[in-house]
Amino acid sequence: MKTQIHQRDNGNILVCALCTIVIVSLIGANVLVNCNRQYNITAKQVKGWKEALYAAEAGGDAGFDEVRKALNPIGLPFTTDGWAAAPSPAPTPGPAWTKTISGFGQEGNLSTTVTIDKLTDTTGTIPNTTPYYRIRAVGTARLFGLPRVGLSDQFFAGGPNFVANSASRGVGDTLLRKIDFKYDHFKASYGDGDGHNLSLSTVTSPQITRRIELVAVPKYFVFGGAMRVVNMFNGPGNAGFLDSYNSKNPTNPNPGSPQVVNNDIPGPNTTSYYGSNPSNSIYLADAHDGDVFVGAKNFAEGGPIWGDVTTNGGNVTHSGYQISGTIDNNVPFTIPPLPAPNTTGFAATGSGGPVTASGTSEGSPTGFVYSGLSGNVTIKNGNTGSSTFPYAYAKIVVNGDITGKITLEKGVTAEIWFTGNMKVKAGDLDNQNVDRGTQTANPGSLGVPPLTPPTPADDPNPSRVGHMKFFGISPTTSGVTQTIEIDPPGNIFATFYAPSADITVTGDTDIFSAIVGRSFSGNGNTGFHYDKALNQVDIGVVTDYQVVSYVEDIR
Amino acid sequence: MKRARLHDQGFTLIELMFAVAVGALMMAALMAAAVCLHRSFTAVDNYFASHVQQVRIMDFLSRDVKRSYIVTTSTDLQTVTCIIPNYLVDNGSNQPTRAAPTLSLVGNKVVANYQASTVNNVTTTQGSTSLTCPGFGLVSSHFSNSNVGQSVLGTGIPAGTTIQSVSNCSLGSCSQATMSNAAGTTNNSATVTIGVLTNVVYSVVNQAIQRRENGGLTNIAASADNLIPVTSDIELLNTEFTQSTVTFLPQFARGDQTFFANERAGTAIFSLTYLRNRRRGDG
Repeated sequence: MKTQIHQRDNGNILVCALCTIVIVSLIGANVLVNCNRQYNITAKQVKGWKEALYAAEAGGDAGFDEVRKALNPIGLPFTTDGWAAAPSPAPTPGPAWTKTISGFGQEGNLSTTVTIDKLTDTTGTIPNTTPYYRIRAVGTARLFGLPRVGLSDQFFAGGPNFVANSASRGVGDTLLRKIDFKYDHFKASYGDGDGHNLSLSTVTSPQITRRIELVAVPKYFVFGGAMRVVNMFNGPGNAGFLDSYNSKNPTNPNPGSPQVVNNDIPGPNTTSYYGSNPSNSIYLADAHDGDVFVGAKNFAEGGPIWGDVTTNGGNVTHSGYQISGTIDNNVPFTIPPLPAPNTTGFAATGSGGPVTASGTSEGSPTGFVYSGLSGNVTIKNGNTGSSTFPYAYAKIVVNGDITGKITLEKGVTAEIWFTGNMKVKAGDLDNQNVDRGTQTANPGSLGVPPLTPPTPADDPNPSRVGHMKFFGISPTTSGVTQTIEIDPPGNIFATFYAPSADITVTGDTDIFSAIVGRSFSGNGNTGFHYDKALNQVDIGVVTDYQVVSYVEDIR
Repeated sequence: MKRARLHDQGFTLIELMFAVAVGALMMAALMAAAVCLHRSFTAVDNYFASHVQQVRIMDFLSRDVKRSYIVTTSTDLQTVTCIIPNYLVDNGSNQPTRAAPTLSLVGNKVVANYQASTVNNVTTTQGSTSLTCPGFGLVSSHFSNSNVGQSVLGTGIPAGTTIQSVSNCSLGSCSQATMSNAAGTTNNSATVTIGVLTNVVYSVVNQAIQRRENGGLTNIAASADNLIPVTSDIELLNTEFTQSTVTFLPQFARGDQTFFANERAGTAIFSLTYLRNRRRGDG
């Protein structure tokens, strides 16, 4: 007997099960692939979004670097290295320059276009003769991968444009990353950013753009703090202190004759120019700007410092020093040598004697040249009799040492430049001016009478200290260091800008001043009081630029 | 020959029951596998989506912190408030223009404002809505009538505070102002910024992260992803930064609270962002 088996009738369940498994596996694999793809796309978009900011900031750095290169605020060229005039409309007063840097990043996917606008301040914060710069940079990152929308929840909540109500600007990635898949959404919606030149611009490949704006202002004033020394600071004296005051402040207790107030000491070694400062907010606000900047690590403190301190590689801390403000030990800087000024048209004199100043502005002073200054010199005010402008300006160049007494009559602002060394007693620098003590001066102008008869208190130069300004011309011989030595008795009311000079003050001298030098050393009771009004003293050049604002255009 | 008629024979009851049982087990296993696979795929999908939202939240927060004047964090680290310069001028056309910067002095330092101004040497008193300053006509030292209705920003002044009125005015320079909220601290030499400012608040609401810009809700992430941020702002003497982490709870998790906590901790991503416009007074 033979048994026939019909095998084709068996095995259905197994086949069905296998098919089900295959189908489920395919679905699962598809989910995983989709997840992976979306994740990959999104990761690339996140990368592009971040890289676009890096590109924009690179453009901002390039723009800032260009601004810093050209420290002469009058004749910024911006004509080389790819810079060109920016398309209109130009800002007021303008002009504007632009530059595009492209082809950097992974496979050259990044580019940046930076525009620099020249602007003028109208608030009086900085002189309106000095421009400041707005740096706008656009960073663009080409997107890699598939042109998909990633995991964005939806495109637009209420329309494609930026509106005041943030809830209507889109959601999720759409709101944040703003990917241009086919058209540049910014140019189409906002043109140049201010509604000019709107255009439907096709992009060659999906991209992300980010826009930042920096504001770079000039560090026009050479005395932004009490002391800026390149090599070494050792001060104030052990029994002294370093602080600040404001000669323009009408509540200044001693506007006519600044002197240290020691009658109400709030604590050991914390006396300031204003005495019990914490009881008066205005005094306190004016007292703690005696900033010290050292371009090296060499910093030693005698008495307390009411202000900020920076060094380059130093080890200054709040616990080890008496410093009221911030400390930063990582601030390098250099100060360029100071060249001799042009003395064309200056009157040559001997080594002393009186001279009369009749210049009516700092830009047109009466000029004198000395071969050395060993005798007494009095700089008289030749405009005293003027009913409209009883002030005078002088510029003196000393081709040698200063060892004699210098008397500056009231109303005279004098620049004294010297090539040699200075060795005098503090009292020999006799500055007979007074602090104006008012916020709003009443000087009138040349040929235009003031509202009321002018007085010395209406002097356009508010600072007694700011009337007597010494400039140490850097030695041209290699290895030679200029020295400035000031001994007791007396106090000093003068500024010193001598980037190549070692400055030494001894005794119980109080220095009402601001100093830029190679080094500073003060011992004993030497105190230092920085007049905040000096932060607007300039020597006609921009010393540097700094970025004071950062914003991102998030449209 | 006797022909075997196998195909005509039925299963015995035992065979049938055995076959049904085996089949049921196989189907159950298959269904269980399918459900598990589905859950796993959903969890993976959710994990990726949550992670992407996590990154997006961090990017939103970092971008806002970077361009802020001031960032403050609540004591429970669950709310972050960013005060941002109002760079864009809303002219009502949905096509705003860029504001021009104006310069002000803060101490010895120059700052740039957009649609705002800075006032120095201001006295704030804890619990008081009064602001006083010297009122000098000089730049950056007085209030003005145009300040009324504008936002005021400064250390110890609650977010969203506005100037209600100004007084003691001379030639347009005023020495007193009244705020809508009382100051939280007393400061005799504060610097305040007054003008149109953008206020962005990140907060945790029902384990979802919300971003509100001037009160308006911005949808930056889905609400059901169980995302939790922790952000602290650090103010040093010469700089300021925020550090943030965002976590979420993966759907893989099955276990006790400790297990959940560990699962959540494993998803943390961290960000540290410096304020480019630090503004806490003049130091």
